Amino acid sequence: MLPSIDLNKLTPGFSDSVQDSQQAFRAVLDAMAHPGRIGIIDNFFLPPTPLNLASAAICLALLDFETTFWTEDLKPKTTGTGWLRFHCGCSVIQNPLEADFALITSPDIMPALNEFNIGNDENPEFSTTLIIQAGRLSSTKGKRLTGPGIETFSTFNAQGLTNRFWQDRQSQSAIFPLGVDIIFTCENRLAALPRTTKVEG
Amino acid sequence: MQFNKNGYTKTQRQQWMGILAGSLTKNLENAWQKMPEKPEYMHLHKPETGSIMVRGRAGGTGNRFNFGEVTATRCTIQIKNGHVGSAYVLGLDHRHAELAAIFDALLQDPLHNSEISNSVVSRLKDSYDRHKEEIAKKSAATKVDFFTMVRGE
Repeated sequence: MLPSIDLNKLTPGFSDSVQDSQQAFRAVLDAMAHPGRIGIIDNFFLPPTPLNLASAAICLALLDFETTFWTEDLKPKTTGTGWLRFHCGCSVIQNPLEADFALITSPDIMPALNEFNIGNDENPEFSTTLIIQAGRLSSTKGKRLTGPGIETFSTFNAQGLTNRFWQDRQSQSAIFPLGVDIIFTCENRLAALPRTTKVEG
Repeated sequence: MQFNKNGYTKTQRQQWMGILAGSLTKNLENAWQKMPEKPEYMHLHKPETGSIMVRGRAGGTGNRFNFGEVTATRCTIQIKNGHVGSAYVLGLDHRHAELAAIFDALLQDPLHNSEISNSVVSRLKDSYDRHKEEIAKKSAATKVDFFTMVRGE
């Protein structure tokens, strides 16, 4: 049994849940279709610490009572987790290997990518979708991305990622179509790195 | 109403939530309109309608089985001084859920509790009890006892 949510500390989520979650979903869809391109969540509400606006909006749009959620430094009782449990009804779990969605607020100390669910051969889509909060997103310098959704190549980097992260990401190309999909967020901006994208540099 | 260390006992809150959920919207609306100072509130969950699976036990003691789905509307609001009220009501009436949630929040506030208990809940309880009694009478008249006749071997 999870501890009960401290209701008095809760803040509202989307002001118009239908419209706003459709817009957030559209933003995720666009980001996934154009890896490395930085998109904007055009919405305003106060997300609970330590979530940024984009992460909070993505969670409100994608999580529900059927999804499992893992995060590294939110204990089940803290504001952020209570907020997600209240608004999305998702179950917060302890093992990243079982997570449908994972939120990472400190990318420098995040677990290796193979500690998350990479899917299985029959159902590669059962893998974990990672939401990583970065200090800054850049599309002018960084790694060179190629693959579906990118005409020639695009450039992308997110502040706070370690070399180990990029090595992990590199070794995922060997297990394709298995692997995790990643959404990076910073304030109200987001960019995606689906498993189909090749990373160089 | 009695206080305990943590505020109110679970059953007391359950009681008033049940009365609020079982009352007619127009009665709640009347009570709300009569309030001299209406508190400011905001929605944590706007009223939303969904369905809930109701489960039963044969004879009250048998195995649990799915009885059927009911339409329900829920709402969670927070009044200005921080108290959070929730309501789950049967049916589609968004205003009913909203008013029930507001009164639930007010009743948890020691400042308003006795006033709301006396002026709102006790009155609602009377008509709620009458209504329940009426339903109980009607359904009692249709009660059938099942028994099996043993045939001689």
